[in-house]
Amino acid sequence: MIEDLWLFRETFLAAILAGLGCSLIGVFIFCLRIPFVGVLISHAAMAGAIFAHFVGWPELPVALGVSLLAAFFSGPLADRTEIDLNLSLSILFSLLMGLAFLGIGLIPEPKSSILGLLWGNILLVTAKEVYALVGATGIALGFIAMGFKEFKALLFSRTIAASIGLGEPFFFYGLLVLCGLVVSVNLHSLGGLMIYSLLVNPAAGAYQLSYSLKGMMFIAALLGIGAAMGGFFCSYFWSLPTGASIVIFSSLAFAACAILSPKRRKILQGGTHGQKNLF
Amino acid sequence: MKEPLFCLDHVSVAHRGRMILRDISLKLEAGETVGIVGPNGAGKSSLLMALMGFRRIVSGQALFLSRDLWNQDGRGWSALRKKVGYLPQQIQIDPFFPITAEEVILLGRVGHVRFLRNMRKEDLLIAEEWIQAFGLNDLRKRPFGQLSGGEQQKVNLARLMAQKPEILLLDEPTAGLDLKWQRILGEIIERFAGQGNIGLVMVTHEAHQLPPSCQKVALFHRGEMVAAGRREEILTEHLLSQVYGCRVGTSFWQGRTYLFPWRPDD
Repeated sequence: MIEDLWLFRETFLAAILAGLGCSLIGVFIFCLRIPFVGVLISHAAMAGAIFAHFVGWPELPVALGVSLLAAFFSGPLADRTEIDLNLSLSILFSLLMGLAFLGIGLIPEPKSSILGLLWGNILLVTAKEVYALVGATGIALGFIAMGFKEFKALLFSRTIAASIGLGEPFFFYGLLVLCGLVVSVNLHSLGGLMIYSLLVNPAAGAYQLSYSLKGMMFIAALLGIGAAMGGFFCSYFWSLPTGASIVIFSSLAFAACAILSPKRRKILQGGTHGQKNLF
Repeated sequence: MKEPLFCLDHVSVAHRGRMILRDISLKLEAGETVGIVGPNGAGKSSLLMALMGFRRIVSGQALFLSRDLWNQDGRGWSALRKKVGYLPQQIQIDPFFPITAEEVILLGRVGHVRFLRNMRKEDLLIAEEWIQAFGLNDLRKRPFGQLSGGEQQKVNLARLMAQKPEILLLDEPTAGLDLKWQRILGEIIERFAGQGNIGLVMVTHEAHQLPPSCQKVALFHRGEMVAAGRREEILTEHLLSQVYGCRVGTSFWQGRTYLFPWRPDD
């Protein structure tokens, strides 16, 4: 069995890096209350990869480019118009979803490889993709560590972050770019439809348990890695689809956190100022 | 002669293609307090946002802390904002948001510490000084979102002071708070309004929230400054009734001006 698992060493590493990178970025998206950014960027990356496949270009750079474009357009769109951010994101999301499925429809060849971009296939991850994952996760971790105090201000309030003299747009858009980067490199292994769960579920689970941002990031990383590894082993032992197993694991991890949550218990005991829910 | 903290000369402000302030002329000297009073939608908060660069000045001359607001790029605004303690109208924060009261106060120092650098000992000491000055020792480790509205505003004021501002811009700092907290925060604001060279601009619906040391009041209505001058000249029944669209009574007590609507049968 050890020899079998050794064959999957790239998958193993990819699962750890996907769980780590997505859950850490997810903490920021969750705390900024813009989960739709995750949906939008993952679908933008998927639409980009499908387009690249259609015209015969390399998928990763195009997916990255389109997801970054989506990240750069969504923020100013909300800042400069009367439209609420989540609403503008959902409009862009539906457009990208339409483009992605249009691309799938137009591709004449058998569609099994392109469907991999929807559901992902972590078992087929290559060494080259693992290097890309190491690079993207390293950049995300480095940027978060370097600007931790600025990010904390940003998460507290974008207005406060700007009013204390921070270059708030740099950190806000930097975060969206990091999200685009992490999502793009994980697209092949997790799939555009699945990756969203790894962005949101570990962060939402960690939020149930921790009162500090660092604690939340640590717990989210553990949950993300745990969900990715758990999903991988389930799919290995019971021949289940890996992406779906990871999603289910991350959802179960969230459910466990919600049940154990001291914050939720506090709400049930009426211990906060009229707060009704945590989700 | 000292330069004023800010000097607005026939300034107009636009937001999303709509003129929200017209022809505003106002000046604030160091150590002075000005109260901005007026009904909802008068443009009081917009004035503070324009000074912070969150709204666009489209005409007139605007000098703020010796900087021409017409010529500020991103760096210029950042440098300017570090010297300004801005308290927006109450921020909605999730009760379980992962930040403590102490961390919120420390945010006041973040703008002064360069990117990639950790907080210096000096920054921690400044934050500590204001935690003690505001009597926040018992609250410091509590999640900010779980504090009462009054406690949150007290923490926010400590954050502003930790920023070591030259001017404070307070947007309805006691709105929605009970009488006890209105008094506590009022006392704190009064203490700092009369201290050193810090200038204070305070926006409020309720004129009695203005500290007694505030002798200058500007009355706003529908994006225009209707009148500005000494408190007793501006907060008159005649002017206020015109602006609020109903008959307004005034009463002076312990250096404060109280406004109240007259009922038809009064």
